[in-house]
Amino acid sequence: MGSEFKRLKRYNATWITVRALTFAASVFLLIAGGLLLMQKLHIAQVHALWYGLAALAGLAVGVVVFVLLRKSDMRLAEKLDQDRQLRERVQTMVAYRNEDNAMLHLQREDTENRLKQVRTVGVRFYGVLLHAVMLALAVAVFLVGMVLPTQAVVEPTEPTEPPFVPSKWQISALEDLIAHVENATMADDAKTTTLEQLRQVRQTMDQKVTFGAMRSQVISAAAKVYEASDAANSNDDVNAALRLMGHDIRKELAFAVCSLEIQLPDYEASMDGMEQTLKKAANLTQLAQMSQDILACLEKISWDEEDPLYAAAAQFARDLQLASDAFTVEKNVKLTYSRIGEAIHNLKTNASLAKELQLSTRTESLYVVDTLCDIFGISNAERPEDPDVPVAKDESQDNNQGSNDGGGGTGQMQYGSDDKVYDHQNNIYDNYGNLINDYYAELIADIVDGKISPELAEILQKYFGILFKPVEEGEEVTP
Amino acid sequence: MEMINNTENLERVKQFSQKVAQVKTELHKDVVGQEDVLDNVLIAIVAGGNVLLEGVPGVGKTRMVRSLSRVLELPFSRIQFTPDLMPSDVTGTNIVEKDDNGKLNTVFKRGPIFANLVLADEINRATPKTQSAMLEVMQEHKITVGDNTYKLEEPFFVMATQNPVEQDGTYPLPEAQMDRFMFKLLVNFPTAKELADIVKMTGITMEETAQRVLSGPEILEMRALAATVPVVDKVLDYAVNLVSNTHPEIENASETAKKYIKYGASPRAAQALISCAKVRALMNGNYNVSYEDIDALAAPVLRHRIKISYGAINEKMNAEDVIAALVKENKKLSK
Repeated sequence: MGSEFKRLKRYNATWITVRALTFAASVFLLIAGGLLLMQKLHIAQVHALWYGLAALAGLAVGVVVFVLLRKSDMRLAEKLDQDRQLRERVQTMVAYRNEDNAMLHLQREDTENRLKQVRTVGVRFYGVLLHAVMLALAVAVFLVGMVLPTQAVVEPTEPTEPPFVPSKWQISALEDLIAHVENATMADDAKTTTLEQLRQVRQTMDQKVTFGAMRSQVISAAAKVYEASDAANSNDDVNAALRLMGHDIRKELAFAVCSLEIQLPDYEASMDGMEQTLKKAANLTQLAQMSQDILACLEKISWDEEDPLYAAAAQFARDLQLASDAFTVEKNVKLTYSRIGEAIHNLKTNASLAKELQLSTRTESLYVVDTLCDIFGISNAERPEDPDVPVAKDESQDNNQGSNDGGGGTGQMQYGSDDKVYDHQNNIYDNYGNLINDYYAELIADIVDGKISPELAEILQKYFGILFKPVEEGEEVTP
Repeated sequence: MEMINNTENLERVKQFSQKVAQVKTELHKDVVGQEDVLDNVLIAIVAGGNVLLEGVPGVGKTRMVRSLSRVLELPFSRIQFTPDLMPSDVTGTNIVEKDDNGKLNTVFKRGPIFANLVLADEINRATPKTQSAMLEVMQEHKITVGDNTYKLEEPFFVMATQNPVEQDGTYPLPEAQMDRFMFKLLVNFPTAKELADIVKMTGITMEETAQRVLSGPEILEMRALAATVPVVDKVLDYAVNLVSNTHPEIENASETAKKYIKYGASPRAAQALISCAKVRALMNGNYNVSYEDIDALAAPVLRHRIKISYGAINEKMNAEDVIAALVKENKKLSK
């Protein structure tokens, strides 16, 4: 092999080595620089091992580049022939390097002479420039990573809620509410719980909690007031249980006695009706059975024995039993009537007293929750559910109109649609709203059938319109 | 085996191109222009091949060959091919002669073919039978007449001429005979300047004044020397692919062949390419064959060996255009 070709081969190998080293160094410096930057900018935790891996990566790239760029003698000869337009001289020389004759000798000599003019192989200006730029960039990244000071760690702060700052009127309103409850007529347990919750809310107002925490406590306090009221009132639970029972004259009596959702005036009137029923001759013989039915009903609905209404109903049952026992012996109808009347009177009195307390408890609880939520701006949607009203609240509760007029109503539905009224047609106690809808449906049917005159129909439709939605003063009413 | 660093051989190699240059100089005394034709004729002679010269009448085909015979100092004969020419008119025939004793003997009278340089003028005017008499001579350099075979003296060349225009009364050469020609060279009409020189020359003399430069043995030496020019495998494959790509029927045939060629060149084309490329390289002072040598010889070697298809005719392409396309395609494939 000619010396000139060997020279160029060495040159080429050197250049390839330089390129491989440049690539290797660039890769290492880029990765190491990146790691340094990540560490100093606290983007990620970088272990020292990563730098070792960067070195390995650089080495691997360098080896790959070297292997790919490395040329065999024939490939180098091809490149020389192409780049220098040597007319396949170098390839021929390399192909026939192991042979010799006059022609080959001349060919080799001629080729070598031409190769003397060749200074470089495989080195192009843009190639050198590219390598230089690549290395410079890598060095720059590395130096920046080295020189950059470590940034201080900035802990991310969670967004803070604004503190709750109570206004003077809120403090004053809450204190007024507490004073009101202290003087209110409520069942003891319910009153105690209500005051406790209100005072806790008052204490929290002084503690500078967050807005959300304050609201949460208010809602929790309202829920506990409701629970206490519900525990003191056995009306709904009893009523719900009674609905499941069948109806006959005896059970109807027990039902009427045990049902605590009846308005007192109606209650008394129905008791009067029961008195008349009891006094019928046929029923005198059934007094004992009626007594048993009442007691069985009380037991079945799991009424709290300490509930004064329970006591009133149980006493009434015992009174009936005594009257029955006396009638069995004495067979005195008039006396028995008197005893029945007395039993009814006692029931009315006892029930009224008990009922009054429970109603008062219920009313006060509703008032406390409404006032408390108004003070702290708790919307109807955020308020806890009233356990006494297992139906969805609607927006009309915001108006609070006509919902607290006596009775055991929740006070939250517009027209007391959750109030229970006695449906004499079906002999059941149903929601006031359902009943009024039924009546309205019948009205419409009658209008359609022409049973009602147009003038009367208009009046009745206006009437139902009043019932179905609140009426602003001066507003035209339409159903 | 060639001697290593033999001074005499080195000298002979160095003198090769000088001698060729001298030959050309002498030829130009009688022939104006036609540089490429002269170069290729010399290449064919050194390589040991026959040449078919095609050109319109009066462009100097015959004159060129005659001058060549004088420069090379080769016994020369001219055979004017006519339709009535018989094979025996070319090869020779046995005649009956009375010897000195009055005895009748059969003697073989040699025909004009028995020369070193034979000019077969207007070869396409002879009948196929007569043309076929040239087949054995051109390929094997021997003649068989009766039971006897006569070897022709080396170097032996046939330079044939034909006109492209006079088609009436001509017999196109069969492919088998065309394949015996190493080159088909187109002798074009001279340029205006060349024509002016020709006219000036004829005004002075019509005599052919070229002098001897080479002898037959020297040509044989040059031939042997050219044969030693090395060819690297890639260049060899390049030449082989070029010839293979003239065949549309082979697997992976080139697009050009599929589109423009009816049938391709024989293996003799590849042999001619390589042997002539070696001579050309040496003539140009190079000591190895290159792609350029192959490309330069593609047209002379292939133009009479391929038959273009109707596709080429439709697109108004001739054999030169098709060969140029083949060379271009071959270059792309070789990269």
